[in-house]
Amino acid sequence: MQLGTVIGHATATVKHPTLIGWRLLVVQPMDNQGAPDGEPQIALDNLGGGKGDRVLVTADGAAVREMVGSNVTPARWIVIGLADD
Amino acid sequence: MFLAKVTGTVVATQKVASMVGQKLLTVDPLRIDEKDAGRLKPTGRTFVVVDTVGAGEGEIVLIVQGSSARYTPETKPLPVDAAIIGIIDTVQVGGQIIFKNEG
Amino acid sequence: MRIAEVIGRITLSQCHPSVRGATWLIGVPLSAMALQGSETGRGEPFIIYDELGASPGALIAVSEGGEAAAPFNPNPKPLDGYNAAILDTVHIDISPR
Repeated sequence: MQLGTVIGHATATVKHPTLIGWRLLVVQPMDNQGAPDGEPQIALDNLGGGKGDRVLVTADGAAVREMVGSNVTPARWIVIGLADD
Repeated sequence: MFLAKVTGTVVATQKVASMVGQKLLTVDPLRIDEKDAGRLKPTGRTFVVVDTVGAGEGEIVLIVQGSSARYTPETKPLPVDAAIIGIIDTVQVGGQIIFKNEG
Repeated sequence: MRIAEVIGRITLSQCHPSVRGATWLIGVPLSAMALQGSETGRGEPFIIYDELGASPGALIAVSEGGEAAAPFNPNPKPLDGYNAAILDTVHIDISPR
């Protein structure tokens, strides 16, 4: 799991069918100093994360497949919590 | 996936049983230089890859790395982390053909 | 899934049978800076398997590593980059709240 900051969102009409119905957040992973760590990632969200929110994302394949409800999803990151601050 | 140029072959007489009969090649990964119209630039690094397509020295190839390299029937049982899955015919960047296999 | 800008394509003369007929894109992974139009923060171009029909200039969401092969389960293909979505809009706003 990793902490990231929501820096935007994306929309897509043409996409893998397992992504239909999910919000696509642009999440910047952060290091322990709060500095950007690597490139932003598209994360699936149904918790309502928005701009500036700190979110908890997981890249656990089994968790993502279970939440998406598919064994064939190409999704990797999914929001599993919104930090309280 | 990334592009690389085949630079040689590796012969290892002593190897683990699963690797017997496998063709191993050395490759130099190529960088697609966006700042230079997409020209292919050697990185000077060397990798050993398993070949699934019959590539030869001097050819530009497509390489898959990581656990995905084992997702073919041939490579599934192998202790490998990089495989050639194609031989490049053309590379097009910004509407220009920057590489064409003349072989 | 990182966001990449499609800058080109490759074609293959020979390939593993599991990827025959595929379309391959060249994509540049983009940092937050690059997503806002900066020339800096553009990463190293890499090759992406495409079955959605993305064109040069498009922004796409790319699955990497094992997830790139997942769409073909239970018979995964030897792929480490897969175009999961063609992005119509990417809205970046990193100004303070």
